[in-house]
Amino acid sequence: MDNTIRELRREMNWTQEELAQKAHVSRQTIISLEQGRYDPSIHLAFRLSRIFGRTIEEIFHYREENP
Amino acid sequence: MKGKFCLLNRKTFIVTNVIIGVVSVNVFILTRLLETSLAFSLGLYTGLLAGWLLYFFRGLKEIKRLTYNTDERTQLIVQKAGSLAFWVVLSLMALFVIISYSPKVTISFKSREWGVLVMNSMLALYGVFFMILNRKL
Repeated sequence: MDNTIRELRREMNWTQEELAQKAHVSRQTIISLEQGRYDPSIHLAFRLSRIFGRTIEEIFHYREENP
Repeated sequence: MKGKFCLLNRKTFIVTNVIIGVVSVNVFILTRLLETSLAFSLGLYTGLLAGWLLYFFRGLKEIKRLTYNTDERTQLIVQKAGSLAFWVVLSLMALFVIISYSPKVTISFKSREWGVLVMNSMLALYGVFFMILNRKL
């Protein structure tokens, strides 16, 4: 699953640490999310969408593995 | 999996330290009652003390920094590492049991040696899987 967390965070001029504090997760989780290594839970996805003021679909792009 | 995580606060920190303290005292009493060997008892006390000190200083640091070190990703890593360690040890033990029943193999194990083997290998594998998953996830 791709995401635009890094781009949105830079738009907001937030550091990874600041975003981590807002999302109630560790900085390591933000790093993993930005690198696409970790798919968040639905709770965290909603929290991020509220933090950025975007819909979940605007942040996360689902790609089917076997189309 | 719930998405709510709390910062480690002073109350949780104190309560956890009290619990570890009570457990330590009980372990001390139990080893005395069971008259376990000195080497075993000292090993156990050292392990407990090391764990306690690690938690104490890590906790102090976390209270000061107010960061979310334990979040859903950490929880996932803990779950996966635990599950992987369990299945690997179970598979190895199953294999080991089959081998030990063979008349060609002349090794024998005491129950406590089995216990130590299972416990240590599970702990070691858990640590290894935790580190691998922490890098991969």
